[in-house]
Amino acid sequence: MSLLLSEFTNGLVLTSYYALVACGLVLIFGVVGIVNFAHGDFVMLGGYLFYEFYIVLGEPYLAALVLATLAEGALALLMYVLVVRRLVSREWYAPLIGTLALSVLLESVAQAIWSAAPRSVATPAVFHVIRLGTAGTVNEQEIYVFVGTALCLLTLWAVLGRSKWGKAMRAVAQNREACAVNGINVSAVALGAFVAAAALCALAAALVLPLQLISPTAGDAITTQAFVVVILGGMGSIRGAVVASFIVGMVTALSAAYMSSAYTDAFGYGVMILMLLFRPVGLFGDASLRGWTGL
Amino acid sequence: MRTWNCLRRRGPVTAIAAALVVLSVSGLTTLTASATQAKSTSTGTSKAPIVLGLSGAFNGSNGYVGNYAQQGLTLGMAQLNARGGVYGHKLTLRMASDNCDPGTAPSAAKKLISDNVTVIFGPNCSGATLVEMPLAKAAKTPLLESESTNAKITAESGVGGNPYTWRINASDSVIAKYCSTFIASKKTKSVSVIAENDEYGRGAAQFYSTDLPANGVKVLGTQYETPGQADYDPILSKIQAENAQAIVFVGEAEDLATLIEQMHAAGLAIPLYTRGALETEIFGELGKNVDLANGVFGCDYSFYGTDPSFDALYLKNYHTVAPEPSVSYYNLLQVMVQAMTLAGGVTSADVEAGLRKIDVKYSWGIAKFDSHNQAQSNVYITVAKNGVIHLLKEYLAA
Repeated sequence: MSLLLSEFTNGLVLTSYYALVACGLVLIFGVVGIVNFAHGDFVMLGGYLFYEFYIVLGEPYLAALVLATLAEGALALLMYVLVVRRLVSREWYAPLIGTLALSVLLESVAQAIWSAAPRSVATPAVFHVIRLGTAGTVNEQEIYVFVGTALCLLTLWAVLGRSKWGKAMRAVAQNREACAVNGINVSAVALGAFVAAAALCALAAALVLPLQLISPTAGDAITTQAFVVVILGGMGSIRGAVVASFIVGMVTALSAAYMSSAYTDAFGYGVMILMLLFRPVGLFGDASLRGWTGL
Repeated sequence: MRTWNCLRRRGPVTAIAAALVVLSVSGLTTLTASATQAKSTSTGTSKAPIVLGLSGAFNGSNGYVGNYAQQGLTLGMAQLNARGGVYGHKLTLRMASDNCDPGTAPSAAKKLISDNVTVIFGPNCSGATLVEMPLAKAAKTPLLESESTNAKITAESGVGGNPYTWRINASDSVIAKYCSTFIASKKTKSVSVIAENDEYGRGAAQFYSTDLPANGVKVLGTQYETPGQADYDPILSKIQAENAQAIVFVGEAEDLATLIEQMHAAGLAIPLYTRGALETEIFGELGKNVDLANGVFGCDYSFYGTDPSFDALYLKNYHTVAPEPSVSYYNLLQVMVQAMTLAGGVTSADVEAGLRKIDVKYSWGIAKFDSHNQAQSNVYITVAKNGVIHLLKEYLAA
């Protein structure tokens, strides 16, 4: 029982991580209209920005989290204006190749600036262990992850569902041409979505990476997992991304405990393949809209 | 054709992006690593330079190791070139990135072979070494090893196997024997093993599975991790549930730092014995939490401070403590040069002939090769304390 509860906690941390990152991926796919293969590298970049503010400059944790998020947003704005905006209207392969190239570029730049050696961004909360009797342990940073993710997702839900900006994003996701005709600045909305997605990545990095180490290749694994989650949940569904994050996070944690850690990734991919075989649009995708539910 | 015409019409951005991806997929890193070869210190001597090849990890999660290897070789080459080289031939270096990956390593080896290198200083990763060995054999180019520890390398080298692969460091079969003895001496009754999910990790884990029980220590299970893995919590929860008294970790320094942090974050306060990962780099990776590594044990074929002159040279040039790969490849270069001196020549065949005859003591052991081209290496048991690695015990090569 103790092992099950411990792995459930581990699975929740993974769920939170995947949910934040995957929601950003869904936003970019839905509103901007591209598949962003550099998405995991946005997390990596957010991690290094957090490292600079928290470790190098010595800012308090919350301030470093906010500053890293703002800095990442600013960099994302720059990336969108200089690179992504020009790719959006091209043939389908242009954004694909462009974001792959952006990924290589970001990793190379990170390695040049911070070297290939990993670095710790641990906060004191990581080592403040709370024993839950026979149910195992949890540390304070993990509690920050759960609370922070819940707040982020609630905020995202509120913005998308109730704000003017959110409605514009959903409208653009459903029909860009109709929005343009009706006077919605599609490009500005897409820019907003791109920046918001990058900000989610920075938040994910600042919450979760204190539990790990940051390195230039830290984005590779999370990119792959984010795609697994998005495909499982449905390419255009935020709700699907959250639910799928839970499934993938739990499968990852429980398979390492009860089967073999050597094949942890395989179980996640196996679930994805089963989904593609039996319901290609994903759990919450809309078959009539080819998987797209408009967020 | 229409597709390529479309690309050309779309402007430079897409073309550049496409080119970047094509180049990266086709081994840009290999080309780039070779293009950033160390500058030759040759100053116009009439004798052709000796071209050395380094297959190293310059990218990926092990990307720092190749750079350390290059530093060690470069310092050694500069020393030799300052004295006129070897038989008047200056030394130059070509590099290729194997990414510590068996999939990429053949490209690295082929690149070096096509550069007509006299010797390949082999990968630091066992999986990469094993796939480069047949290529070196086919090209009749000596492949010298001072890092990879998989026992198969010895088994497949020398008599009845690959005569062109030579290894100076101990294999995991030897290290595991001494490490298991040490673990048992600490009154440990049960361990869990965490190993890299590759040739190196799996190869070493099999010896701990037999050597530990032979010393009265039960192995509760072996968990596998991916190099660069970010999250050990599921594995650590399982180990906590198994009530293991200690953990044996077979992996790299970067993964050790993550494991140490997450053990503390999980409240798992049991001894940690590491194979190959306790290196000074982890202190840099742990940053201000360097004390987390206090009490972590290391079992390895290398130890700092055994070559003060190289340590001083490295400190002077790079202003930091010499990392293990730098010392390792520096040692390997000295062994190669000694072989050339014995053979009286600087060709690949001379290196082979010299290595068959060599019998010289160096800082980490004795460079004298047995019938499987394996030299005898010391084994060191170390412990980390306050950001420094201390020597606890050493098993000297006979």
